[in-house]
Amino acid sequence: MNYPVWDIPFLGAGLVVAIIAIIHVLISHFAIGGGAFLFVAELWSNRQPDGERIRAWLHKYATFFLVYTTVFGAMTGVGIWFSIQLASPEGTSLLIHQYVFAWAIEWVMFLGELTVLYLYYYGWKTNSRRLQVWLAGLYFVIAWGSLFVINGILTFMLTPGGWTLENTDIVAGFFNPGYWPSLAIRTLVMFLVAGLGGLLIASRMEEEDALKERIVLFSSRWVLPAALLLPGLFYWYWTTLPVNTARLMAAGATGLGGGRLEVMTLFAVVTGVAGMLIVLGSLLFQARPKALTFSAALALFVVAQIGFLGGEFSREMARKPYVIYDTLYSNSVWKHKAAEPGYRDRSFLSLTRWDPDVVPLTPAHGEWAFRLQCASCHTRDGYRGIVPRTASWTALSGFKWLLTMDQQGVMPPFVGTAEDRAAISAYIQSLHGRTVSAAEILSQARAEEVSRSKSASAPTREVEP
Amino acid sequence: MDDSRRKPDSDGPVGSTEGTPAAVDIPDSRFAEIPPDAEKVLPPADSVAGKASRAFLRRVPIWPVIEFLSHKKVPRHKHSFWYTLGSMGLFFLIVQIVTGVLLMIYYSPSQPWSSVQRIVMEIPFGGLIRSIHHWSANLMLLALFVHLFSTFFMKAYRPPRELTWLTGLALLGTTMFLGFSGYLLPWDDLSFFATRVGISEIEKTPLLGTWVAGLVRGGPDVTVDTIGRFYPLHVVVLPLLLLGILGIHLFFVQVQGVSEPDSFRALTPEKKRYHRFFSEYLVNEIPIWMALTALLVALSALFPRVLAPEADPGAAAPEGIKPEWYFMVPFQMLKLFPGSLEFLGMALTGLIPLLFLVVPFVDRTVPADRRGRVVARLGVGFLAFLAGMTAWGILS
Amino acid sequence: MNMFVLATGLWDALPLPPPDPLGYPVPVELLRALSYLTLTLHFVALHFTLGGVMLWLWLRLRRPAHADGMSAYLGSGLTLGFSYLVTLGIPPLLFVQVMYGQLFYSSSVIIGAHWILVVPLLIVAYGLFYLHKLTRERHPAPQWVYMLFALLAMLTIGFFYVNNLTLMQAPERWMSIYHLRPNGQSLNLGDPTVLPRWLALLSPAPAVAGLGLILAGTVLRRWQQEDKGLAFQSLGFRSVLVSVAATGAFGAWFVSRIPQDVLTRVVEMPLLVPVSLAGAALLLVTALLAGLASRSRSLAVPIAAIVAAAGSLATLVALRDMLRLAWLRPHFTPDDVPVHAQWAMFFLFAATLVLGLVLVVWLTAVVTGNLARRYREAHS
Repeated sequence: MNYPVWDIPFLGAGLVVAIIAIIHVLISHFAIGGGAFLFVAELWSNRQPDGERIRAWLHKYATFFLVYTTVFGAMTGVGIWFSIQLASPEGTSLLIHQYVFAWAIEWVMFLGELTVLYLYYYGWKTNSRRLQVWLAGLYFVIAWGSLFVINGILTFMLTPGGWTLENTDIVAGFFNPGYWPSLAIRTLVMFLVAGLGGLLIASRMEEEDALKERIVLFSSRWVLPAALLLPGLFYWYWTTLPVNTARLMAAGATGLGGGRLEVMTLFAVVTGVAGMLIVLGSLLFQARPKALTFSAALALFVVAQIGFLGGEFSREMARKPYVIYDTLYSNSVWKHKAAEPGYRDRSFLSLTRWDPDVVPLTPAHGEWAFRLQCASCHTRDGYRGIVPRTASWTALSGFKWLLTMDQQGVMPPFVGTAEDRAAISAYIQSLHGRTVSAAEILSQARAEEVSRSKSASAPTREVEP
Repeated sequence: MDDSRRKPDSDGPVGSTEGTPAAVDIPDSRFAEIPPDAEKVLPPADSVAGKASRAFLRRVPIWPVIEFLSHKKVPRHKHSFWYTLGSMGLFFLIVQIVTGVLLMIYYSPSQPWSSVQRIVMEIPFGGLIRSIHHWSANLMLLALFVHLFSTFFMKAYRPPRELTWLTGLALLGTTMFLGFSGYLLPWDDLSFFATRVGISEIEKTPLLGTWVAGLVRGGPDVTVDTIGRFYPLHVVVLPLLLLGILGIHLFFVQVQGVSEPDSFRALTPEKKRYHRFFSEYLVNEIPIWMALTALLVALSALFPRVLAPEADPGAAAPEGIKPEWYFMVPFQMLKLFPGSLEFLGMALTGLIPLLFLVVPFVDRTVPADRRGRVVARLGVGFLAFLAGMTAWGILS
Repeated sequence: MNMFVLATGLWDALPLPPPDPLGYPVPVELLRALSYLTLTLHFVALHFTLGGVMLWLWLRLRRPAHADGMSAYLGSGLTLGFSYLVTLGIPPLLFVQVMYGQLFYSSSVIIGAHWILVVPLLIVAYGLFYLHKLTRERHPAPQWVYMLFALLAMLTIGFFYVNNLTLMQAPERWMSIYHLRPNGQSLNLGDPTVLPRWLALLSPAPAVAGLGLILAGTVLRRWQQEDKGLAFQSLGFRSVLVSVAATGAFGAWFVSRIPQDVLTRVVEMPLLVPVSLAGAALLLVTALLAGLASRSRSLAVPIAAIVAAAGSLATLVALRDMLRLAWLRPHFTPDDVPVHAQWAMFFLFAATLVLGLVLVVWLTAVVTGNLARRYREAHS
């Protein structure tokens, strides 16, 4: 309402966030888990007779790690920050102003982990064994610290816990109900991804190399903690989800309106399938470690990426209709304002700042009301497109439906007058190639109401002979 | 019955039990022998697995096949990844069969649209299975096209593998018809008009066009009778045909071995590295199938297959109706030759499969000679042409 | 979009969102101080990296004596320089969003399609620097292509930043630009200060990279590599001179394009004169010290030059913010925003920062000590 809407055709601002974020999470989890991997591998190599050869291999892992996590990981992390401020300035502003020092602390972690990583990598040949082990361990601890912080902000958005706009209890909001299960889940997933990274680098080794077998076995074991504990942890996470979200997910694969409501569940299924496949795949590699090829290891990495896609999509959709749960709707309408009596019946364009001066009930009215109230989530005929979703709409049915759009629990309540609804409905009809004037819709609606009220009072007359 | 066991004064066909001579170890011809090299590999004869495997081999004497398959190897070189493309096609085929059977449980050819709507809206995970079926079809065709071109560029069609190539082309054609026939079955706007447009293009073929189109359609227009033909085609006839040709195709691959590119052939024997198919190669192929599984589920979640409104044969065709991407090349080609030039367009389109068919008879030498190199370059150009036409068709 | 709508749009009330209801977490002076400090460090890293690329390309073009050595030095610093420029860029961006969020987000969305391109451009530049580092021995021929594209990427990023930050302070332009293209494909090209500001922003780059060369040259001379060290120092000094001249020229051009009413408000600011004088003085000192460095092998001189340069960058940062405040005065002052203090969080952050800095500085000293010793042993 206060900010302009970034109206990108076909993709939509939300999908831009999703694309950048999904690329980022795989890398960021690898970045932290990989630190633990390096630490444990350093310790392991110290106890092996061919420790030098193991460390030579570990250097290859570290090189891949360095370039992959800094170039692609850190930059896409910044990318998330850029994209969320474009997709939801109001929500981002709330998070920034509430948690600026949490983010500042996370930044200290970044500074620390980067510097320690460089010292570890560039000092590879000159640092003592002991220093290397310490640096690797320190890197992991600091990097995990950055997870500790961002996890609070991220889970706050879905389950703000005891935080409200009135009391702004930072600690209650940060250590919210979803915080601890999410932290545990992400930590185990990080170890899993680190192991997959190890398999990727190990697959390049010569098959005849006896060391390959030991490194493949070492790497595939990192999948084990996740394999054993994630189902239980996911159940714990499930119990902390908002009631509405849990209800929607449990409704499962059937749904209303073209089957879109089951998408959240579907993405959770994607994650489950990917997780099982990774466990099976790692078992396969344990059976024939020397035969491992690069394409096979890469295939498992792709499965991990798909698993993240499912999990993150599902988690983001779980917040519907909010961007900050119970506080700010996804289209930047404040919940407490929408709950005020009379607020939602005001002219929508009088509440926003970014609309041009439009004449009411013109096509421009409909276009701008759509853009500023709906376009933050819906493109026209692209991602989550409004055109396929309104295929069965008539001008009148759409006009009426808008009043009920929050009833399914995935959309905010409509803000605006009957004129706004008529204008938006006419605009949507125009997207289907049908020209209807908003004024016509209004008069149709009024006529219908009049006849309905007449027929409601009619029976008393008919009783008279 | 062995005569030596029968006493002269036997009581009957089975033989009496009195005074049988000392037992002689004569092999019973009801059972086959276990070959000595099998004995070396099988589990110990007193274990459960050992007894079971020996009992099986005595009754089903396939040890020569097993022995043959255990030698099956796949060359390892920097283009080895392309060997997985064929099996990707096989994987998607299996997915199609499984999801197809599941869809068949609820699909009704006499109520096509409402049964599909029920699948998508009511049946638990029905929408997911349907979306997977749709995506697997598209990815299968993509994998097969990539497989076609990768085998082309690796020159795997050269003698003795001409029949492998030809059966492969037949498989591709059959799969495309499977796609075409399945597309109509939901009987929504999109599928109805796309099928109608597609068959009307066939109708334009001179001489036989009208007759073939009528045969395919079951009448002058696309109606429920067309579903009556497409449905058995899609679920019985074409799958059986496909499996039969696939059997021949795979038989050839097993018997002739995996083809080796020229650069690999030129290596000295010590430098040639192979993976044994059973276990080493499979261990690497299964994760790729896993990635494809995850991809299918993800695509179904991200881009679920939408069911358009029920087909209304009386209505006008939606604007810009197009076939699926794998038919885009003939569609675009025919659009380029309107009116009286239609015949030329058709002839050129018909030339495309013909060119593929003759390749193994044109480029036969191992290692590749000048003609082989020309064929490869023409192939690059042809690939660019096909890809460009497809892209043009999709975007326009 | 018909003219009637556009025309009436010009007389609309400004679409200025209100400041965030949560207000400032600490007094604005503290926020400002933190943002100046971190932005200065960001500029040091930025200019070191950007200048490094510029000088690398210049060396490739002219190939003076010891060009290979200088290129190797500059080239190896790029990945680290880029990493720290991005890392040090985070706090100032954070503080700008805290202090001016309602303005910054609005302008970001208006130029959204370009703003988001910063992210892939960052990946391109960073990736190219690693590509350079990992392949420069084996494949020297295409390196200049990588460097050129990295330079273009960095220049483009800077250009998008300048567009965003100039648009941020001009709410009267927002409506018309947004209504023309709600998909974020606009820029702020109608503002005459954009081009000179961008050029003035880039100009200090050769100076900072040059100071890095001078420092390296001094170290080389201390390690008995006299000719090479002198070449480093000489090129470094010349870069500083060119850079200072360019910054002055583009800076003057920039000031000349500032609207009169804004200039009037800037001139009224109490700290303007002392800060500007300090900046000019530090700039002079930097140039002098850069020239002096070639006459000695003392490390104190180049280090003092770097500190002076950082100081003059700091004054530039302060002047920049004063300009922004003056520009925004008709629409917004940070004094209007209430402070809802989060002192506990602030002190937690401060403690973490101190701890973190101590840790990394100590460890860096240890490791670079090892590395330096190794280098000396290898080259003596």
